[in-house]
Amino acid sequence: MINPTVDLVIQFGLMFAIGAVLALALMAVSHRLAPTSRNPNKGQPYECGVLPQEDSRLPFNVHFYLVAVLFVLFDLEAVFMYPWALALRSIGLLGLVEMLIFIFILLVGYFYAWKKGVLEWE
Amino acid sequence: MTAMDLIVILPELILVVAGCLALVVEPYLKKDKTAAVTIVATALVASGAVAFGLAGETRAAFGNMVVLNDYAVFFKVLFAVAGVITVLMSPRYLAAYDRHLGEYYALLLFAIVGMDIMAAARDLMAFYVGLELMAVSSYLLAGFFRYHARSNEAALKYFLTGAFASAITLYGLSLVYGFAGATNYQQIGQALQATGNTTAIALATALVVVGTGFKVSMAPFHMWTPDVYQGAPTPVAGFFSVGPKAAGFSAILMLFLTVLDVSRSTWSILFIVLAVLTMAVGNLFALAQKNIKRMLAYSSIAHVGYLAAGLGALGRADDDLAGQAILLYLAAYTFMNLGAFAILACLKTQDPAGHGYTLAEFAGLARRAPWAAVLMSLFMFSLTGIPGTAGFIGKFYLFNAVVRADLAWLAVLAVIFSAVSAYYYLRVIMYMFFREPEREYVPREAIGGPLAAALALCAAGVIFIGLLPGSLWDAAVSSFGNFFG
Amino acid sequence: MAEKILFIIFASLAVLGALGVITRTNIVHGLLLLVFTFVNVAAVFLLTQAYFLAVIQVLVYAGAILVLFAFVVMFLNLKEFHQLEQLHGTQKWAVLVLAPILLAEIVVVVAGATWTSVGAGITPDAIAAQGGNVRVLGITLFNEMLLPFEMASLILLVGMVGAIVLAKKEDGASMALRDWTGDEEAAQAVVEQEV
Repeated sequence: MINPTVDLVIQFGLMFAIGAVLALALMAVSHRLAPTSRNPNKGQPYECGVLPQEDSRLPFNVHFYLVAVLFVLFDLEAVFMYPWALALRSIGLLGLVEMLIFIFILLVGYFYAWKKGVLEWE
Repeated sequence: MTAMDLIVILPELILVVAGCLALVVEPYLKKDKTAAVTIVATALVASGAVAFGLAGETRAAFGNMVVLNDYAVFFKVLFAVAGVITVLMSPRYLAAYDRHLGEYYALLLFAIVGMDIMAAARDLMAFYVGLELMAVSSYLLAGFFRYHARSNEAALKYFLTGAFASAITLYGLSLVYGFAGATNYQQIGQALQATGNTTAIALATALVVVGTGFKVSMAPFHMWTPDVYQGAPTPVAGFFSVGPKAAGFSAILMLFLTVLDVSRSTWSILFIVLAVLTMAVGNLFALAQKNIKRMLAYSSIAHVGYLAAGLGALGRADDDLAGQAILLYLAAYTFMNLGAFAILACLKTQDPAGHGYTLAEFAGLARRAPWAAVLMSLFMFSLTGIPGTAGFIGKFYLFNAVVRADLAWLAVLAVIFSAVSAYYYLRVIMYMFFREPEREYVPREAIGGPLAAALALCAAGVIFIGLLPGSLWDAAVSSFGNFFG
Repeated sequence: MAEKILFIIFASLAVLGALGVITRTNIVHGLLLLVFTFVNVAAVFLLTQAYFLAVIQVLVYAGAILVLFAFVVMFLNLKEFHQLEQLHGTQKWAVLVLAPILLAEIVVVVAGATWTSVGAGITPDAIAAQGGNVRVLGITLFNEMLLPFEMASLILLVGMVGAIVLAKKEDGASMALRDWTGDEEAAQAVVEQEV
């Protein structure tokens, strides 16, 4: 019989391998099957379009970054809730209080971010 | 967990609540941040007072995660005092740069919570979380002046070296965990006693020495210190030079005396080597500095060198004399060094755009600002170790302990380097009193209010410890020894 | 045996990915290789039966943290990273000598060390009987590790405050650079000022 851990890891590896192969295969297939005719004019903007003048990668509004940081922090908070939810039955009321304190401290940060206007778009 | 457990961390609870409160009220405050400053200063005083009131109690809490004993109390009071002085130094200085924000004080409080936990921790988990809380808050404080390139540089350098140091410490501690199978200091100590001082434990010891050496800026892991101190806002730099450093030493003493007691011979030699190197680097590089803030950074490295000599002596000796002397030295150092930084903050507040901290700016200060010059002289004398000041008492006890541990040569070396340090400390005094200023200075209004209070506290501390060291020495003696309570 | 083989496969893929991250000059390629490394590390976690860590590794690191990396890349707008001048040229050779010595030292020392098992009775079966890995982790986290857990929330709070203090657009800050745009030299002087 195969070891359950090994089985799991093989499944995990297969999932990612299939995911990667599938993505690459789809790209390859569409690349092969799509009718292509190469011509420099194809890359140009159509008729009345304006010629691109600068790089498409523009400097970014810092606001996106702040929202992303907040997302990561609350994501981490959510991560702590999985073991909490599973263990709640045996840790009882104490566990509930602990999690409430944890959430409350982060809520202070949330309140602060809200009042500072981080969640608003100008 | 019981309600009694909360008493053990009561000083930290006060700080956490006040920090959260400062964050909540901050968005409602306009230019005037008096409310935030009041909350934070009150909380620090209360935290220190509660910790002081708990002196003499011994109990463990949260399943031996943290303890309450005189050792933890000593450091908690010390951190609260350093915090109060830093808070008093800050408002005018920050306002002069238009960065007077409530977050600053909240971050300071959270850093102090982390430091308190480091001193009180008896478990690697609690220690590391405390260390990270202190470190993350410190990085942010270093970069608080976001519109100034030097402040950004300071934050980045502090963050990179700090993260690196944390990783090295953590690797050493994870090895220790692997060898001992426990995270509790006492259990690890017992488990490692059984195995004896193996090569593997020596490797873990070396890694922890390197990692913690980074944190307290021992040479050759000191390179970040001058740049970070120069770039960080001056009150923050002053705080870095005493607070996190003392917290680092509190953790070093605990880790090496309890967890890694088995490798005493290894770490004492490592610390002796680092002490020689650190004293040499700190003092010799300080000689060349024209910028007083950088000079103080190198001087803080030199003082870490003396403390490292004490650590080496502690590993060699049978008694706790060196450990008690280290506690005394840290307390004395807190007042004199914060005082020197307070003078810098004071001068900079009066002239944010012009004053560049150069030695030349101190020329003729005695005539422009006699009080500042007199106080700066006091702090410089104390840092040199002139009798009658706190610095002398600290050095006297520390070097005495080093001699008693049969390391007379190391003590002689430390005294020689102290003599070298006299050159760069007394040079500042010479400039203030006997040099003509190079440029015209517009008369500035005298700095009053909180900053004056901070200076008064520092000066009082320096003189009090210098003249009547008895009570502080008694506190250091009773604090050091019984780590588990 | 199968575990060992799988470990070697995933661990070497992780190391190769990490090497790729630090050698690519195209920062986006480096980023994708970082995801690859994280996924392989997650597989190694699975092998040690740390299922929860493996899930977090994918969810938080390969997911959320990578988003932040991507943002920073877009921020700085670095297409190619070219080192303009080779600093520390001699140190590079010192590293080539010293790093293998350190590695050998660690391998020799650690291989010869005696490891203590964390606690007798912690076997896969015992953990399964208690309701599985994550549940046991939860019970430990909310009993013994209560204090570090609550302090973790403080660290998260500090991170949140820090991000806002350092990166939020401010209005009305007179020192803000955008108010100095009229006078480049004055702006530069403020930026380079001693603080």
